[in-house]
Amino acid sequence: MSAIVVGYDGTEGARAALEHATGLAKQLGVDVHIVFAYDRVVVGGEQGDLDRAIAERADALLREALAQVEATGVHADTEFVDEAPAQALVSAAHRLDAPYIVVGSYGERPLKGALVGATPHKLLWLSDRPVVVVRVPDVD
Amino acid sequence: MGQHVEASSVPGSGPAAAPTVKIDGDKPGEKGLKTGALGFASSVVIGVASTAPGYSLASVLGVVVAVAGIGVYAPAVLIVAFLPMLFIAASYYYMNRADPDCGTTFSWVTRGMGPWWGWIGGWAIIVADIIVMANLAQVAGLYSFLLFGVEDPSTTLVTLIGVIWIAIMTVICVIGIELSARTQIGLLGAEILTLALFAVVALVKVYSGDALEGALHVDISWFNPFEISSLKALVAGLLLAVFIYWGWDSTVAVNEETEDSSTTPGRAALASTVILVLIYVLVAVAAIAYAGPELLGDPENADDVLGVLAGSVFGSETLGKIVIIAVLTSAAASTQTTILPTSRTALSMARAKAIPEKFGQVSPRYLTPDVATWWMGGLSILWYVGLTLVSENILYDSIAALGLMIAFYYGITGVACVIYYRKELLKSVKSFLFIGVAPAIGSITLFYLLGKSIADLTDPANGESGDAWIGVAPPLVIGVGFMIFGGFLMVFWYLAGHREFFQRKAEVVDPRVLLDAGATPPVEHV
Repeated sequence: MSAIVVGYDGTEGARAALEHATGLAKQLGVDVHIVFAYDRVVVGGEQGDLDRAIAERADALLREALAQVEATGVHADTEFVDEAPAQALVSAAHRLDAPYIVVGSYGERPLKGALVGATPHKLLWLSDRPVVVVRVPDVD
Repeated sequence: MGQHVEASSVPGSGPAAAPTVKIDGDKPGEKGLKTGALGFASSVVIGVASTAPGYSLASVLGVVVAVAGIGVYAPAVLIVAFLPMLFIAASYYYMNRADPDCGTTFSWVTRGMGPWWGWIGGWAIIVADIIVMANLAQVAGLYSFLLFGVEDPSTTLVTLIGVIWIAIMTVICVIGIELSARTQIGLLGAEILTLALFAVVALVKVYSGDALEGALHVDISWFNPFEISSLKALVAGLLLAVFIYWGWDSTVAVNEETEDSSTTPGRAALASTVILVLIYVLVAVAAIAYAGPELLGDPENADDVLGVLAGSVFGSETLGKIVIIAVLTSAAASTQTTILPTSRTALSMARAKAIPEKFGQVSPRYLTPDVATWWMGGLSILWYVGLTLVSENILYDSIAALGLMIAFYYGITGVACVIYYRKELLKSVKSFLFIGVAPAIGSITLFYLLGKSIADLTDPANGESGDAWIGVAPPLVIGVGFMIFGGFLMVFWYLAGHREFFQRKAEVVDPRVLLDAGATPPVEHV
C-alpha cells in the first residue's frame, strides 16, 4: 500500500509533522512511513561510536513514533537511512509511491538552515511530489 | 534496547528488533557521500585536507629552519619525519580494520594493552588537539591581519581574532556543517595550486637573480639528513616536523566509507602521501632558496613566513594575498579535522565509562557530540589565552609540545597494534611486515624522538626561545605537565568508584579480521 513519507528526528517540528502525517494518512486510507535520516560527516576520521550512539537514538525514537502512530489505528513502518535527509525522503517517497512527503518546518535550526540550507527547502528542489511543511505550533 | 550493536552493521541497521530498519545503499544516480560511496579522489582529498598543507607549512617551516644546525637542511628533515608516520599509518590501518571506532588510540590501546594505557592514550589525543588549537588560532589570527594588510598587529588583537576563530569553528562543528566533497576538492585544489605556484615563481626568481638578498641556489645536500651537524638538531627538527604529517592517518581511517574498502584506502593513502611530501619539500626548498635560512628562521618572520614571502615572490601584495587565503582555508579545514575527532574521542571514552557520561551526549537536533565539542572549544580558548599570556613564542612552544604528544600517542598506538595482533604476526610474511615490523619501527622511532627530546628540553638552551619555565624549556613543561595532570584525573576517576572501565581486560584480535579484505568482523562493544 502507498504510504505518506514523514521525516522524523524527534525534534518538536518532527513531532508536529508526524502528527499531521498520521491525520492525513487516516483520511486518505494509506500507511505512514517514518524516516530517520542521518548524514554522517566524513571528515575527522573514525566515527564508529558516534554512529552507534546515533543508531541507538534513532532506534528509540523510531519505536516511540511507531507506537504513537499505530495507537491511532494507522499502519506504519520505519526506516533509518544513512543519507542526507532530503535525498533519503525523496527516494523513500519514490519507492513507496507516496502521495505526500511531510516534514517539520526548519525553524528549529535557523543557523544551519541559513548556512547550508534546510531540509524543507532542499525537498522543494528535489521532490517531484507534493511536500507538506508543518510549522511547530506557537507556544502560548 | 541494551543489546550490542555490531560495528559492521552500523549505522544502517539498528538493533534487530527495530522494524524495517534498512541500509539504503547503492541506488544508482544518487548524490552525496554516504557509506560505500566515498571514491578514490574524495579519499585523497580528505587525507590531504585533514593534514592541511598550507597551514602546516605556515606554522612549521620557519621554526624548523630556525633550529640551530638545520637551516638549509629543512627539506631533509621534512622527508625523514615522514618515515615514522608512514610506519605508524600501517597500525592505524589494521587497528581500524579490527575496530573502526571513533575513539581511535583510546579504543585500540584499551583493546591491545588494557584500560589504563588506553585511558592515557585517549587523554594524549585530547591534549594534543587542545594544544594545536592555540597554534591554529595564532596562525589564523596573524594571517587574518595579513590579509587586510595590517603588518604588525598587537598581540591582544591577534589573540582576540584567534579566540573568535576557535568559537566559530566550534559552533560549526556542533551544528554539524560539512563542506561537500566537491567544495573540499575545489578548496584543496586551490590550496595546492597556490602553494605550487608560489614555489615555482620563487625558484624562477632565484635563478633569474630577482630573489631576496641571501638567496641561495638549490643544493642536493639540502635533502641529506646526514649533513645536519648534530643529532640534537635533527631530533629537535623531527619533533617539530612530525606535526606537518599529523592528520594524514584520516585517509586510512575512512576506509569504512570507501567504494572498495580493500584497495581504495591503501591507494588513496599512498597518493595523498606523495602529494604531501612533494608539496612540503617543494615549498620548503623554494622558500629557503628565495629568502635564505637567516631570513626564514628570524624569529620576527618565523610565525608568518608564507605571508611575509608571498607578496615579495609574486611581486604584488594583491597576488600575495592568494597565499594568505590558502593558509586561512587550510587552517579552517584543519580546525574542523581537529575538533571533530577530539569530541568523538571524548564521546567514545564517555560511552566506555572512562570519563563522565555527559561527554557522550549526542545533540538531539544536530546529531553531533555537542557537550564534548563545547568543552573542547572552551578549553582550547582557555589554553590559547593562557599560553599567550605566558609564552614568548607560542608557535614554537605549542608545536614542540604537540610533537611530544603526537610521538607518544602514535607510538603507543603502534605498540598496541603489535600486541593486539601478536597471534597473527607469524601467519604470513605480509602480516609480519605490515602489522608487526612497520608499527614496531614507527613506535621505536617515535619513542626514541620522545625520549631524546625530553632529555634535550630539560636544558632550556635547547628550546628555540631560550625561555625557561621551572628551569626547563616550555614545551617540556606543557607536555609532561599535561600527562601528569591526566594521570591524576584517571586515578581520581578510578578512586571515585568508576571501576567498570578499568576492569576491562586486554584482548587479542579476532583472526577473521584478516581473512576478507572488505569485511569487518563483529566486534563486541562494551
